Amino acid sequence: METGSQSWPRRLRSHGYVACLMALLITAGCTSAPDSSREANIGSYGVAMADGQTASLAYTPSLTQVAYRPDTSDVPMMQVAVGTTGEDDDPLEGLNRYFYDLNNALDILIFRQFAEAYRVVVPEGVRRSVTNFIRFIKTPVILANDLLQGDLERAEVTTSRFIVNAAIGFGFFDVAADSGLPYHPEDFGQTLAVWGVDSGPYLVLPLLGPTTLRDGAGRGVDVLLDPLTYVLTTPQSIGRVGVEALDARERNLDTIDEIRRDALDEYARVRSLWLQNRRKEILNDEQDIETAATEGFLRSDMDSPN
Amino acid sequence: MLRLYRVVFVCLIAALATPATAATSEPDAFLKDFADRAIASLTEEGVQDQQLAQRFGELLEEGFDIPQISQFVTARYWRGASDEQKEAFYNAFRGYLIQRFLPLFDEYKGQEFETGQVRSDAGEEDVSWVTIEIDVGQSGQQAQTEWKVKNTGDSGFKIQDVKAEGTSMAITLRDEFQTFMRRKGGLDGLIEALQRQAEKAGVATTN
Repeated sequence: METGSQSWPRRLRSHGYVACLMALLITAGCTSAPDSSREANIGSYGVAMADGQTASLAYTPSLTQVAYRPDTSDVPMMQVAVGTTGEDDDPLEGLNRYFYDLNNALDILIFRQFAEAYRVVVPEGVRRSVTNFIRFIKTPVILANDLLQGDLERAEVTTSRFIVNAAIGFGFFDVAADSGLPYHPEDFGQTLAVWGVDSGPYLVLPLLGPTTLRDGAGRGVDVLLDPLTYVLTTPQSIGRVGVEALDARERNLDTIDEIRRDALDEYARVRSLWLQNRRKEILNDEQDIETAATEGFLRSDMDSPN
Repeated sequence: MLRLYRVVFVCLIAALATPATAATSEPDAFLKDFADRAIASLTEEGVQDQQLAQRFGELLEEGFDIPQISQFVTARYWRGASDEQKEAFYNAFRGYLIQRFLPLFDEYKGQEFETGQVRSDAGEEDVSWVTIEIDVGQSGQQAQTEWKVKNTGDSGFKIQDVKAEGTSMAITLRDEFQTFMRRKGGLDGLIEALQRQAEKAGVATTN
């Protein structure tokens, strides 16, 4: 992706924009997020589901679906904008499809090739360390968003992870995850959702892939929250974008190949998967709430069976 | 979504670790028993592809609530469909599922799984969600799946949905099919596409 970035107009080359690109690139390649959040979920499902209880749920037939999530810091129920997962959220489908096809073509011609080569050449252990390090240096952004969401429990996990991984793993080994402190992704788009901001339309951006208006804008804020934005030189930032994109694309090689083989409408499947995953990220590990939202969502379509 | 189907597959068949229980009065016992029989039947040596496809089809009918899933994934198009269209969809969808999942049984390597928490659905009576953790192989990673199982009374338990790491298979198919039908000729267009996909893999889509 480095090559792609270099041909961008000059005004996009400021640190901020480069880092913004970097952040959005992580969502490029359609379904990169699931991998990154997997461990987080596995770590805490058992607890989250322990009582099987559900919170109240309001389903609104409009663009945005709302779930209520009890906040961990004793604030009463919060209204979280979790959105829907289908075409209702996609008023710009025509334009999005255009960019989806463009991205796909570029991916097949260029990015996928790099990702495959990376997988072949670099051993799995090293690739794992790259992933760990990318997550490690994202800690300030994750912590800031934990705090902005009022989630002190997660903020504590983020901090502990940073200390443990810095001390024992030098950022390259996720020692903390093995000792019960799993990684979780957090970004300003999620923070906005927790604050009740609607997702706005689903978007597929050129090169950067799926996002929503809210989440795309949120990535810009994340750039400002990231100390490295102010430290790295432009070439360093571009390098970081490239490595992150390569890492994300490699981890999703199989998933995306499978979608391409299997889907009747690839674009629609990716949109659904991306939006569902986003919903999961927004609701964190509060499985019972997430489930309540999903189940309410399921029923909304089932009420007139004939 | 992370390799949703692969996870679903592994989950469906990875029952060897736990001995099958005769009692299927509970949804988790039903899942174990069903998966155990599925793997025994579908990994048997020396069976023709055609016969495997038939076995798989029978298992689908037995363990999954295909009528309900069909209705769910076609949503509003179902309501306007004739009986002939519904039946054609049912058969095409069944064929689509067979061509998609059956080849995965070749890859089965004795993965293990454990059923965990069982909880009631947030709203529907008779519906439970069973958690199953599956060993996905690479460096001891585990994947979390949730199986939506309905107690239909006379016909026993039926699987209605599978969620892998937060992504629902039913919702994914519905979202995709909805868009497909809007753009490519409604329910008939979808039936045709599903038939094509199944027949490409040599799976029959007629009764």
